Amino acid sequence: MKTRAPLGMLLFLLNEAVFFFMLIGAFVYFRGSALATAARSLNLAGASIYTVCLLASSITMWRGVAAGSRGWLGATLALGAIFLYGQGREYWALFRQNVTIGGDQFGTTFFTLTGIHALHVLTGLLLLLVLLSGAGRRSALDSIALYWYFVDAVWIVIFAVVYLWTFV
Amino acid sequence: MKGLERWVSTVDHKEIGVLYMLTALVFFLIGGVEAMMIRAQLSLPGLNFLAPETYNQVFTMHGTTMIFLVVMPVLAGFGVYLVPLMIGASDMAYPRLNALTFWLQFFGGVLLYISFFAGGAPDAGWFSYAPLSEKAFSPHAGLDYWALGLLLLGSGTVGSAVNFIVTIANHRAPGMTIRRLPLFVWMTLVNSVLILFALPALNAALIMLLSDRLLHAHFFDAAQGGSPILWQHYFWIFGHPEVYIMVLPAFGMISEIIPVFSRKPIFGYGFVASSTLAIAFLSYGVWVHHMFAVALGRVFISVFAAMSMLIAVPTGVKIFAWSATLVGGSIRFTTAMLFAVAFLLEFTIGGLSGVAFATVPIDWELTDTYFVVAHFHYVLFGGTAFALFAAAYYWFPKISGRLMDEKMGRWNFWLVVIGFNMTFFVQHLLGLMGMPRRVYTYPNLPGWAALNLVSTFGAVILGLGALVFICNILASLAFGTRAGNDPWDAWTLEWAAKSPPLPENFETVPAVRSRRPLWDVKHPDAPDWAAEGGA
Repeated sequence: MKTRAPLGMLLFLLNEAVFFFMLIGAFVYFRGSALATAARSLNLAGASIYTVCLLASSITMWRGVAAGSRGWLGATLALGAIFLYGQGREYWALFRQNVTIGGDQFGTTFFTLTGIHALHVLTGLLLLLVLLSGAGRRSALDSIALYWYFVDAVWIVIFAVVYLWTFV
Repeated sequence: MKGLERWVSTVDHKEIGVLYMLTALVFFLIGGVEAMMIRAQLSLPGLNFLAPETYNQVFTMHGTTMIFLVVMPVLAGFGVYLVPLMIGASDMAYPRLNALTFWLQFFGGVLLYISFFAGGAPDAGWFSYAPLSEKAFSPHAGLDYWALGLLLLGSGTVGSAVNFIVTIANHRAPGMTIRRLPLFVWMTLVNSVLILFALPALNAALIMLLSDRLLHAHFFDAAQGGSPILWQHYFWIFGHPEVYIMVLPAFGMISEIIPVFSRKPIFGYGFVASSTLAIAFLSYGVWVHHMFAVALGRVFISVFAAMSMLIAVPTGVKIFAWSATLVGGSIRFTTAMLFAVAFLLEFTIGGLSGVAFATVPIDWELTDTYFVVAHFHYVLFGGTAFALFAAAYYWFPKISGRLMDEKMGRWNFWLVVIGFNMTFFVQHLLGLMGMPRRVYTYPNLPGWAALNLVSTFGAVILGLGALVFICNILASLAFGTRAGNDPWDAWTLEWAAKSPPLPENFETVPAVRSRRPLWDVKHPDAPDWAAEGGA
């Protein structure tokens, strides 16, 4: 029954994929009226740095699962935390430019989409913390890793749609 | 353990199934009282039994309750009770997740009803169209409770769908191949996939609505650059598959009950199973038929009109298969079978008025009238609820160990059939005359008062039928005839278990070599697998 937990997680992630598809869809739906603010206020260079951290965390996660090593998992935790810190800094910079969720359509869609994604990253970090602090079952690690890859993959799409598409 | 503690902490699929069903039954009574309040207010023109604001809350809560707190949990309840038994498993794949998803749905319902004590219940209808659902137009907290409650219910539903798929994928008894699955299990499987793709659309829309209401975002507020039409799209991308989510398991129940009481295997098992897949697939391409009155462009809506007509085909295939199962069978008209046959007729009426709606000009004429109310009550009550009555009479002996009383069953059946048709058939006519839905009263136009009075009388009879049902459950639990393991001489694995089943379900699971494993056990001289050409 080794495949039991990952099948459940895969199905859950299928539901999550549709969920994010709808949120990204809303961003695209309002993109026309949001583009000016996006181009003016987003920081592509800064976002690229913490994006690289998140992508690197998938590699450390993969090593952690393959080697069963706590060190690699700790590195994943750290890289994920850096991502959230970087995103927090970007939020702060946007607030200082008076770009908020109650502002125009950019604020509404950007903060809802990236905020929900950040909550998913935070959930992943908490799951990793639980696993690192206690005796997590092997199947739990497999499921958490799947979840983590998914959250990273969703970020690639968000980064492409929100950042790259704005500046290309 | 003490009783309450045991029920709160249980992870047994049978006990959780019963919890689901009891919860649904309580909410069915509450939703039924709300229906009675609506019909009382509408019994005569110009009444003031309910204030307009109260009326809005009552019809909103009636719809939300019946869909999310009655139909969804009772279908989940039958599913978690029966699926492991029907596939020869000892429990669901994730017993603790099973308990979690039940309690999520339970407290989602509680949250929804707390709104009555927190400034007023939601009052924007079960689909809460923007911008009415926005803070500017609905400033009280009712809509927040609605969105949060539905978010819990939606998450719970997703969790149970995951659990069903993993259970059916990994926990089938040896020999229970995908082509031998009982049709109820097959439809629960397809339904779970449907849930995985549909519910997240609702959850996303609810998150966006909550952002609007609580964080001052403006997804759906046109005055601030948002789009009310986006809410309509997102809601119905969920909402139309939801209609099938509420009826596919009912189709599964009918597919189990009609063959057993016709003493024939189902006609066209492959067609019934594969038409389910067709329905699931097409159900994602029809949502705009809820939005024909929005100016979306003629070509665009024509595509959705065509798809909406197309989806009637796989549904029709099922009706033909069930009817063909009846033909030449030696039919036993138990109460369960009466409800199953009535289901065929009532659901077909609802299906036909549905096809009428797929024709855009007819929809334009009738949208937002009582014709719509009549239509969806024929599919949801005449369809799903009739199947649920049939299922209750059919599986009650397995769950409780006792038969439900057939004499009260007849009263239950005839009161419900007469009351239901009296209540809702006349609403077709009222709709054709132009009576709008969701308005707390109406002028005394020719014919309206009489038809509305007929409808209200029908509702009283229907309500009596429902009360007889509940009395029958209580009386049969206490005094019902002992059922034995297999009172209907049925063929699927749950009837090989004890009534009620042991905690671990089976001592030994019978060998599965065909679609009717118990037939094979009872008829070793002429087993199905021999006719099918070997195992």
